[in-house]
Amino acid sequence: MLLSITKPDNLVGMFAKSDNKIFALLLLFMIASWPSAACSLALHDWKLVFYLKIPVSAPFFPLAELNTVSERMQNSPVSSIVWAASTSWYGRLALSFLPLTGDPAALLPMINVPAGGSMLGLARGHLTPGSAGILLGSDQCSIKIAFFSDRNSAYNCHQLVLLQNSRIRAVQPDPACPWVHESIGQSWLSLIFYQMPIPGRTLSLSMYPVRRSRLSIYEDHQLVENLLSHKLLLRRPDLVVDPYAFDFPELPE
Amino acid sequence: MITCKKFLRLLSFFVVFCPASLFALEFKTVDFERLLRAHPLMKHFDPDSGRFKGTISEIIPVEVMQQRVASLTAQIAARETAKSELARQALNSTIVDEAAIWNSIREHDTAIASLKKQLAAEQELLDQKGVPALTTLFSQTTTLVRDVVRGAAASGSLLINKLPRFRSGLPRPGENDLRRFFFYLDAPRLEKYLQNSGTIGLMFSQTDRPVLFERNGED
Repeated sequence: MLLSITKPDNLVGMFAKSDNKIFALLLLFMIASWPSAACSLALHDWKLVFYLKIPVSAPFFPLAELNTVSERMQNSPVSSIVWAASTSWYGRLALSFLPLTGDPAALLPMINVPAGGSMLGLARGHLTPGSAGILLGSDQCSIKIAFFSDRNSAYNCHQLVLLQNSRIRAVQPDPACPWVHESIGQSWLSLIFYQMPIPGRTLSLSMYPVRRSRLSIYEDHQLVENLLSHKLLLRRPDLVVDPYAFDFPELPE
Repeated sequence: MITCKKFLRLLSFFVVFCPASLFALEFKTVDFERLLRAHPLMKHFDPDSGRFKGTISEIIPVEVMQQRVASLTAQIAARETAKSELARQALNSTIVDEAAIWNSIREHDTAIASLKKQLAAEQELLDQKGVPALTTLFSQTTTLVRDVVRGAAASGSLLINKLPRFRSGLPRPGENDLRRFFFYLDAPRLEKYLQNSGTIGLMFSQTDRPVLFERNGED
C-alpha cells in the first residue's frame, strides 16, 4: 500500500522542465518496448554515441532507495518507510509501478516528507523503542542519458540507458539498536533494440537494482536467435551463458 | 672465362646463403615445452591438480574457505556494531557534528560493501567445495597460448612443432562445470570438434613426437 501525504514541492524548481522532458522520454521508451523481450547470447561492443548528464530535483525511479530498504529487511524487520525527498508526480507514478517488481520493500507503506532537513534530526523525532520504520533520504540526484551503438552489429544494434545517481541516507531509529547507512545509489533502465525502438525490434528491457540484481522486464530470445543466425549480431563465444553478464560500459562523470 | 668465374662465385654465394634464409621463412622448429616451462605462470603449475597454485584456479581446502568466510562475516559484524554505536551517540545528543558522523558512516558503509563483495565470492567458492570453475583455468591457458604459441607462430611460416607432454591428470572440474558444459550453446563448434575428434585424438596421443601443421590466414 502506497501512501503519499505531501504535495510535490519542487515541481517549479530549477530543473522541473528538464525533469518532465526526461520523464516523457522514459515513458515513451517504456511504452514502445512493452509488447516486445535481452540478449545475453549476443556479444556487443558498445560505442558511446550520445551522453548527457542532468542534475534533477527528485529521483525518477527510486530503485536504489528501495534496494537499501530491501537489504535492511534481510537482517531486521521493516514496517514502513518515511522518505525525505523532493518528489514529483512522475516520481510517485514510478513508485506506484514498483510493487510489480515483486520487491517486498516496494509493498511497504510509504510516507513522504520534504527534503532538506537533517536526517539525524528527523530520526530523533521518530525515536521509538522497537521501531521498525526506516527514514530514507535521497538528495544530490542526477540523471545520465546514454546512447550506445554496437560495433559488432555494424552499428545496427543500440542501447539506450537512463542512469540515476543519488545520495541515499537511511536511519532506523530504534534506541536499543539504531541503524544508519549512507551510500551513493545507482539505478538504471536499459533498452536494447535493433535499428528501431519499436515492438518486434526490441531485444530487451531491464532495470537495476531490484533485490540487488538486474531485473529483466522483457527479453525477445527468438528475435536475438534470428539476428544471430543471420549473422546480424555476433554470438557470444563464452562457454557460460550468463544472463547477468551484459550491461553497458561505465559512463563518464 | 672471367665472366664465368664471377658467375660461379655469385652462384655459390646464393647456393650457400639464400636457401637458408628462404627456408627459414617457411620452416622452423619451436620447442614449446621449453617455452612453456620458461613461462612465469608455469612455475605455479601443480601436476597433481592440473591447476596453478597461488592463482584464481587453485583449489582451496574447504576448511580454509570456512575460515575466510567466518573472518569476513566477523569483520562485517564489527563494522555494523561500530556504525550502530555512532548512530546511538548521534541520536541521543543534539550536540554532534553531523557532517563528521555521516563521514564516518560512509567510511564504514564503503568498507562493508567491499567486504560483502568479497564474502559473496568466497561463499560461492565454498559452495563449490573450494574448487574454482574450469573457466578460471581456461583464462590462464588462453594467456599461455597467447604468450607462447602465438608469439612463436607469428611469422606465418609452417611450424615443425614439438608439443610438450606434461604428466598430469585432467584438472578437477568445479561443481558447476558439468552444468555449464550442457549450457554451451555454440553447437556448430561442438559438431566441428566431433567431426575432427579422430584426427585430434591421433595428434594428441603422440604429442611427444614432432607434428607438422599448417597455419592458415585466419588463425
